[in-house]
Amino acid sequence: MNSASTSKIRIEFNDRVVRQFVTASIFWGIVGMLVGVLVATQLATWQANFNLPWLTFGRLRPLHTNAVIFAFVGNMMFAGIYYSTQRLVKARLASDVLSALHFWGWQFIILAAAITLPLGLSRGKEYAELIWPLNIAVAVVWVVFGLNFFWTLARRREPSLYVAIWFYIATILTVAILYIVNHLSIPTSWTHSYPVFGGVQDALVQWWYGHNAVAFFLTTPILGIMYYFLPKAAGRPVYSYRLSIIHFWSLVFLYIWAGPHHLLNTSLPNWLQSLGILFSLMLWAPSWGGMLNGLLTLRGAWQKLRQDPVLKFFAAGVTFYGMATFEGPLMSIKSVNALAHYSDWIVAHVHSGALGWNGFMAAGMFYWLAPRLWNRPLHSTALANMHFWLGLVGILLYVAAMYVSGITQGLMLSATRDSGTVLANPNFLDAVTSTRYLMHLRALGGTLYLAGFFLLAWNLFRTARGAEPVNGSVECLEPAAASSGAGVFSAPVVYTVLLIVAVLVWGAGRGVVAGMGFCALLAILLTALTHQQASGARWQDWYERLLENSLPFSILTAVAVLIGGVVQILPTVLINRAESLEGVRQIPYTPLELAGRDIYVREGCYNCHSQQIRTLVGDVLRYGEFSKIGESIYDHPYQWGSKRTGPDLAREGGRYPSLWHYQHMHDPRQISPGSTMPNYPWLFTQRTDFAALPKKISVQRRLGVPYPEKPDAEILADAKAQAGALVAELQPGGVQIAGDREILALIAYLQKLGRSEPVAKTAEAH
Amino acid sequence: MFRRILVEEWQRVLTLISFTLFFSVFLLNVIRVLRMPKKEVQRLGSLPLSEPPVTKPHHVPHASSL
Repeated sequence: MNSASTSKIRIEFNDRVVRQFVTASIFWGIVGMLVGVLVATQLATWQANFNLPWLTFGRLRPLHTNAVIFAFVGNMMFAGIYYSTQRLVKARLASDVLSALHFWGWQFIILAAAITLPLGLSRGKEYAELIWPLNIAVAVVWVVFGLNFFWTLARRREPSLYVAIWFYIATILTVAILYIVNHLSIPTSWTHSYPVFGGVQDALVQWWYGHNAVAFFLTTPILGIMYYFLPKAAGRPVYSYRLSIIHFWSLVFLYIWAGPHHLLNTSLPNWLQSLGILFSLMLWAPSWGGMLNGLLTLRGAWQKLRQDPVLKFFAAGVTFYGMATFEGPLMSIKSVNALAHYSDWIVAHVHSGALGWNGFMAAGMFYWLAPRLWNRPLHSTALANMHFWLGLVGILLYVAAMYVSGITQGLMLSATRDSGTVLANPNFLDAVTSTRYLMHLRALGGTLYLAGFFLLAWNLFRTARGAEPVNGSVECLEPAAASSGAGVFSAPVVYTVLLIVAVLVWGAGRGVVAGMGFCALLAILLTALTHQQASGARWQDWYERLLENSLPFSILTAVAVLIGGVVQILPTVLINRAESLEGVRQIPYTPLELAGRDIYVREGCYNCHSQQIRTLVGDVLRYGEFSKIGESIYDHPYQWGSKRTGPDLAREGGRYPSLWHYQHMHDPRQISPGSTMPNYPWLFTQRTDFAALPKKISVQRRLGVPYPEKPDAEILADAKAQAGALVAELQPGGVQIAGDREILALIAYLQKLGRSEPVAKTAEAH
Repeated sequence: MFRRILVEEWQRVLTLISFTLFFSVFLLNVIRVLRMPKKEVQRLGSLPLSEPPVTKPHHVPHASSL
């Protein structure tokens, strides 16, 4: 591989894996967007669900989101990271085997997801739906990626770490932390598990993960890519390297705190909501600093935008980053959130980021890379330009339709009359039917965007066809210039670690221990200052040494990220669930209701129905008393949802007779004319998995749900008895159905929703 | 009045602590960045452009289009 000379060595980069990731990203991108167009069509036309379980909205929407996030952007991100890192550190990727394992492992996971999600195998948490064996596979492949990356840094020949590498390091570490915590589960079978967190704890952990999946999977790596590829494409250095450093540390430190803004006006403790709002607003500054830094890099090169599709895509991508990061904090203000949350406005916001920022940055990078990876000019610049305009019009159509739809939904569903005592639009379906034409526009916008990506695929295929793929190379001096771990035991790192330990002892300890922690803190500070004075070193030098060593730098980054996570998560996760939780506590589900809940999760009902009545007039008038923490405390996973295509179900139990639900699930339009909900005919023929219930209840008990100890036979008998009672209840309505059908379990679950009891009464009972 | 709004529950103090913590980190960062030598900033900023042009890339031995 490397042709050594007397003083210099030629390094050939591993660009094969870059080509593989580029190809995979385009392929999965088209698949993900195609599914996106289908689910958009389903929202306009219920017939597009085809009465088939594996093609219903609830199962396909997770496939769409996972495919776009992890398959399209994931593969694109790996391509960009591997390409730029090798060149920035002047070293070939450390291991061809690890690179291949990373690529094929990731594709295996995506393929498995594409099979399991339509089959209804889901954990029931947004962007975290994959079943537990795949969660483990993701963790393993991520470790392989991390090993390969950090090993490459350890072999680098460039002593300094460019800011793009910082963003990559933050991505690798933070995604690992977030993914592992949010996917902690206890299996009940090879394809099913319950998350260890429940209710408000699960909601908080989920959005700590969900928000930061956006931050550290869809943003930081792409920012790294921006800081590398934009200067390359513009032919000039980044506008302000100083600003990029501030951008990095501010973003990494702030982003992790903002998760609770997904749970505003809910039963999440108020102090957490305030924290989420505060940090979301502060995010304006670094996000716009980074956006302006990117755009100003094009200073003096604006004339190139006319001809160069790469710069067009980058400029538009960075602009969308600016718009999405302006909108995000705006929607985190409680009053704005009251209007936007649970509506299509959120969908518009997400797509302005995913299609505009991620999609356009990906396209720009692919068009820039293709001629270099295949050593041939791009097949057609005109086609690339056409892709740009198709994509831009597609996004604008999509996003504008969703803004109008979202604001209409928000206004209609919260509108009141008679001095705020009566709902102006009591029928939820009024909001659905009023916005239906916008769903058609949305599908059209998505189709245009997808058409643009077909053009990209064709353009790159024609560029690569018949061309000989090439690997880039660089000549540099031997030996390697830097070692990653050299600075770990240097004075600044040791003092920093000791200071953190002392602060923790001071903060977490009581009495004498806390006092000792405080004394230790002062002693360490004094020692560090004395040491610095005596050695004649400057803080600046110490910091620079840290930055030139990837390991201590990574530790610093992890500390910055973890502070926010720990402050948010620990107090909520450690609360005693047996204590009074706003006066009410959920009554655990019976075995049949639990089976029904698993069906609810399998069908992805949470994609359209929330189970959380917010502390807002419109919500309370429509659905009843606002939700309390205790009412969902035993829900593993929580099902508060993030979008109301249909009404909230938090207090659905007892609202309608069981016959209503039976007929509604068979054909929603028979009960609710104008509904876009799919039919669920298979629930009337498929059998409930009674045999799995004892194991499921045993796992629930381990998770802290107060189920009494019962023999398996008794659990099964309870479930069958409740199903039998439901059959008897349905018979007067002319329904003849066997007692083991899934529809009965689902109805049992729906009729239980919102059933809770005062804490004092529960405490006596247990 | 402000105390009542902000410290109604003890945990709410955390928002103030968190803000102070972030602002301190931000301030230190800005000071450090402003004190960076100009030459060093220019060198770091030019890293993506400092790669020597690859005039004759190595051909991949396999004929695969990947």
